[in-house]
Amino acid sequence: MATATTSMSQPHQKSGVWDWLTTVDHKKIGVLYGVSGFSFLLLGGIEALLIRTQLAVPNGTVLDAELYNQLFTMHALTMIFMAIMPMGASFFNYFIPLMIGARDVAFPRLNALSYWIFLSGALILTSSFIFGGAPDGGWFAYAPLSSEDYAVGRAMDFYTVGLVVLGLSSLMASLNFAVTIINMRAPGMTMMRLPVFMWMTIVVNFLLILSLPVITVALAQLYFDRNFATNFFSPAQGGDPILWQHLFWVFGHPEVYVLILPSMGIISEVLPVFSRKPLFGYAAIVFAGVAIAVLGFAVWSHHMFTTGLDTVPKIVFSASTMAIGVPTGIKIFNWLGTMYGGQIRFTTAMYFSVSFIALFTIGGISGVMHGSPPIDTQQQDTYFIVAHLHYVLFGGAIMGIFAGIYYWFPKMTGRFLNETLGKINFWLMFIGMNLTFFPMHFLGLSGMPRRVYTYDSGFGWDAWNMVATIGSYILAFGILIFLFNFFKTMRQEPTAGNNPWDGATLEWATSSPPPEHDFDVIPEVRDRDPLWYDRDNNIQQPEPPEENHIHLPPPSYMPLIMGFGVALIGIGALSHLAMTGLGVAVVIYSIWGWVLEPID
Amino acid sequence: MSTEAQTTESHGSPLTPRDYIKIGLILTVITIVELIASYIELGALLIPILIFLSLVKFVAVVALFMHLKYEARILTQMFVMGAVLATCILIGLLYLFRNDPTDALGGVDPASGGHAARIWIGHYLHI
Amino acid sequence: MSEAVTHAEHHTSTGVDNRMLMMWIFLASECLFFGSLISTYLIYQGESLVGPLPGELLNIPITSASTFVLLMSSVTMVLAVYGAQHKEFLMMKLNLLATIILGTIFLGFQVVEFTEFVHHGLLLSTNQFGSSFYLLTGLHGTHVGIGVIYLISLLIGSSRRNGLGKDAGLNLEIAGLYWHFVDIVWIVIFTIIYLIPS
Repeated sequence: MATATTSMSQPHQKSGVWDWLTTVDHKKIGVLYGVSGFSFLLLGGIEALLIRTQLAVPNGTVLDAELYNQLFTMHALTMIFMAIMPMGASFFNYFIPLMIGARDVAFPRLNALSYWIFLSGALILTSSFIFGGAPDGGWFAYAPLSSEDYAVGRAMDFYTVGLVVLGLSSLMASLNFAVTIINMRAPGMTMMRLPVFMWMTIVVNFLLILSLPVITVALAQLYFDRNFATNFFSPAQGGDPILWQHLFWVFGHPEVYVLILPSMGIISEVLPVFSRKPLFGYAAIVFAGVAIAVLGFAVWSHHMFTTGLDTVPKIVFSASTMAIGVPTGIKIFNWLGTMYGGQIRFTTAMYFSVSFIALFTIGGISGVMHGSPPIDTQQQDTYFIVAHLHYVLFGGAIMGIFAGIYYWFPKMTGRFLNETLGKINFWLMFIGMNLTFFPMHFLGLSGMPRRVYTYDSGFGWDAWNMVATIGSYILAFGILIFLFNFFKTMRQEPTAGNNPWDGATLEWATSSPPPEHDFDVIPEVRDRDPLWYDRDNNIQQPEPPEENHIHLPPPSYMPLIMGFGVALIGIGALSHLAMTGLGVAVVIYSIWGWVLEPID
Repeated sequence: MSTEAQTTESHGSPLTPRDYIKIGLILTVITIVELIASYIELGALLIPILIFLSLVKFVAVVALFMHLKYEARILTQMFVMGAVLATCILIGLLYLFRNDPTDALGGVDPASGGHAARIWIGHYLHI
Repeated sequence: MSEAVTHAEHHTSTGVDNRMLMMWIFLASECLFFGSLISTYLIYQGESLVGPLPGELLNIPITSASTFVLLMSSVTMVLAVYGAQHKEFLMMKLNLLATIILGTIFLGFQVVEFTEFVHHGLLLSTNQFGSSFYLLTGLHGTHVGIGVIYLISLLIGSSRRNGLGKDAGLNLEIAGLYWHFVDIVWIVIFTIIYLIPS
């Protein structure tokens, strides 16, 4: 079986806390991301429930304005950067090597480092609540509200530092995954035989690689404005607050595709398996994904239609925004085409996937409406936008993630999440989600602004707000059912075989869960749906050899130590220079250790 | 693209140390030319000439010193993707700030402190 | 038998080493990083409400000298890479040392320039020129500094018993990519900030 060579200075335990702290195994790192991401999903959900409770009735007294501002800011930051992205990273980590027929990612220690830096950034950002207050300027932190004049205290510095650290984590992970998918595919796995989830993954990685630097610059400029009296965004000295908006949205728009494309990839895997039919229009879906990414860099000012843009830019950005609906529509029709004529198996994963199509389409329709500047002038900063974004992010991204969880749970744990509980989980989430967010279309159109901590009676908003709050509680109950399902299932014995769903892609060619080395024999790929092709053509995979000398990279302390060093640098940026210096020293020490430790 | 390929250390580079020094000298000459150009009166030709010369230096270093001309195509694709996107965003941002109608709000004369007519690329391209 | 461990001469789908591929993709992201900083500088060109202004401070002859120094460091870097790839380790070490020295001289020029500007009253907070100039060139200088440390580490590593191992050529080449990139960013900065009149 697999052997892992070790040395005296490296950890050698195979179980327990130290194993998890020093692991470089992509599967364990995937689990770390997944558990962390889901925990932050719960935190973000609590933040949302507090918001909804405050807004259930007019002139609510649950939260004051200041705390409300912190909660809606942190709800978005938590969900985007600490829940959805890490859960996406969890699937990327776990499944990239398995789906391309590799044994790990290109840089296993860098992979672990990405996780520890993520955790540092998430903890720094979230700890703001207890260190003087969380950021409260919205997740988009528009200037000059974010400046030192208006945002007194350190909250917005937690914002800049936290996001820079989180961005660093994402950048490292994306570089790693991009190299892995491009360079480590199994024999016969051409780019056009990659599973669609892999295509979406690589597109997401490039979106991040190309957009994160822009927001890093903007965050640095904001940090300098607040702490070193520069004038990037302060009008009094010649700065322009609009520059922040531009730089933010040049990142921010590709970011929303980062949030949705993984889920689009997931359902592109789930739908064929539970329709017992290959994906319809593979090439079209792949090219549509790439087109969405390219166009995604050309639409950013549609978030700024009401800032006084000139006419020509408005027309250009409106046109590009409308255009981006086309590749998305192509995908929708291809998913429908996949199911049409198929033998549908109504598993929970399938429920979530089909609901993705419907709910994301609703979100897409409202999105197209915003793409028209005159209409957007009415809708901007109202609950209509809140409705749109939650339909695409909850109805889209989250439902897709849950589809992935139910689909891949047997592969990762060897156990099946209970289907009955799963369906209850689904329906509560589906009904709850629609009850919460559909009324927001009406609220927005009747003029209810976003980001207000309370509202007066008499505007006609009372009833729908109450409905939305009730919906949010139903939704929360659905999540609780999921948690119950999860813990109940984990207490059972693993029973799953290699391929319980009769899936087509390579992760189903190994055991559930996979051995540490993923594959006994690296598969050879002859077709786009390798396992179906082999099954239909009676091709047997070769037997593993008697003695399998597979060298896996040994565990390492260095990613953990370097992550800690980065955390110190971040904390130093929020407190004392000395702490930053200490952090730099720790990072340098860990680089030295990293370079010198043996990896063979 | 599934062909397994052995990576090689020295990519059979046709460039010798003598070549590299020659290229270095040419880059130095170009820099001197740029320096002289920035002092003599060239009017509207100055900026295109400077951009062109810098582009030559840029491409020379990337293609020859960084060896991109002799490497696998994927590397050129990766780098060009970043360089082209960065350039497009730069041009887009400059255009947006060049044509910012909010500068004229409040009775402020754009010519005195606003963005209009000052951004050289917009000014030069007359957009 | 398959190897999950990365080292030279292993199979990759494109024939390019993983580390080489990663460096090039990283440089693509760095284009966006410096592109945003340069965009900010250009947007704020001419927007300073108070002096000192670029025309008063920027010293083109001196900066041309520092540009030349950095350019020469690229020549010595590529010669160091050549030396490593052809196993001529003395050539490699001497040129690596020369690159480090030239890079440090460049940083010296930057320090002198910044000090001059500060004496003339230009701080980060003074005006738009100060903010955008110092952030752009400061971050570029930081990249050069990290590069110098990177190269010093390689030089130290090469004086061990096994030197830089069998990956010496690749390691030098990848370091060279970073170094040359930092040079071409400076080429762009030099042209845009110094040569083109504001």
